[in-house]
Amino acid sequence: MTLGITLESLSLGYARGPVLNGIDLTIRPGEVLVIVGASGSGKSTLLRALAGLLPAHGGRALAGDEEITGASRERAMVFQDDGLLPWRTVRRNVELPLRLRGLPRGERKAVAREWLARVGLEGHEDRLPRELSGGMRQRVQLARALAGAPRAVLMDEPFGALDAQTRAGMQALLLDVLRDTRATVVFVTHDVDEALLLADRVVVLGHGGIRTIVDVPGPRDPAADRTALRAQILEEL
Amino acid sequence: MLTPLFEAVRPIPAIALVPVAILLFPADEQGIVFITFAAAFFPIMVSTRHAVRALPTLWEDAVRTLGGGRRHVLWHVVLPGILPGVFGGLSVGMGVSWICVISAEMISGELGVGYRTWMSYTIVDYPAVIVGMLTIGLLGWLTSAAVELAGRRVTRWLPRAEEAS
Repeated sequence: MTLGITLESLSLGYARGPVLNGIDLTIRPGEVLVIVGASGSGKSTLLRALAGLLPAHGGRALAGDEEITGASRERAMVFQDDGLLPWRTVRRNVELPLRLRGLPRGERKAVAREWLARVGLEGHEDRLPRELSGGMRQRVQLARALAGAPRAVLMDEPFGALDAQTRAGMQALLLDVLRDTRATVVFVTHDVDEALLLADRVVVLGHGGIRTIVDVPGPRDPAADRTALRAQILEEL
Repeated sequence: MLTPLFEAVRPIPAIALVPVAILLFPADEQGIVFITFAAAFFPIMVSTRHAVRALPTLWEDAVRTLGGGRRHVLWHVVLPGILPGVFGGLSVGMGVSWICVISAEMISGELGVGYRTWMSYTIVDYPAVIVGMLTIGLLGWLTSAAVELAGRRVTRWLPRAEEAS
């Protein structure tokens, strides 16, 4: 079952000052919402708040009907920087959310094997993260996040450090995986083309709030002409 | 809470504890164990403390967003993540404690290679002194190598210099 997320007058910031003020937004269950914005616009800050890693300065965020007050396995996160635990093998990283839920070893191994096959990493189960390329590590992160069957996946510029070819492959993989999982996805990027490829809706952040929200009509096709939408987003950035 | 106490005690050289050790444990070798413990404790403690503070918060965030609580963060992130720092402290602690155990044996012991080396000196048996010194060096090297080997086994995940080249 997917998760809807509601932000009501949400204000966020750090000790040095506010970053976002009075955000109102409804993220529909099962949609892919992409957040774009310039550096420092609060994209990652907003995502951390949705993950429950950053408390609100004001207002509130609701996951379903419950206020977000801390991290939860219902909202798994994929990080831009390598969030894999370097001492655990690929398989043991993917097993981690299942281990935290107390699943027996056999079941954990079966689920991990299934997800690693899904992201094209069969045969790499016993390798350490440092032995993998950047793209492979991001695939492991994706498999780990989805292995725990979250209702929402929060992705913080997960493909930002990848080369163009690997990035295109990861975008295709993500679209393929999302078709099956139907989890709600909140995806942060600074790449407008990536946003238009992946999103049902694009939220443009700037000046401490939401500048605009753009609906992206399907289907998700890399060859589709989205020049007008691209221009509209770039104008607001 | 104990930090001020530790910081006040830490600068005292362990070998300066010999009089205290003789007072506390006048009859046996426990004083030497006490001095050796004091010598090793602070390098390991400081190194472990720095390792905990230097842990990237990203790993903790990852475990928390996968459903882990504080106990899981401790078990799955903090304990494995600090092992390189702990073994760094153990390596330093082993060296310091070896110096202290030999010195303490020379000053107040009745057993051990330090005691025997010192006694050889007092009876002007220089060949035995040389043998004692070589034995101390060999045992020190073996104990350091044991810590190094154990550290490498439990931190296989760290990138090694030979792999980076």
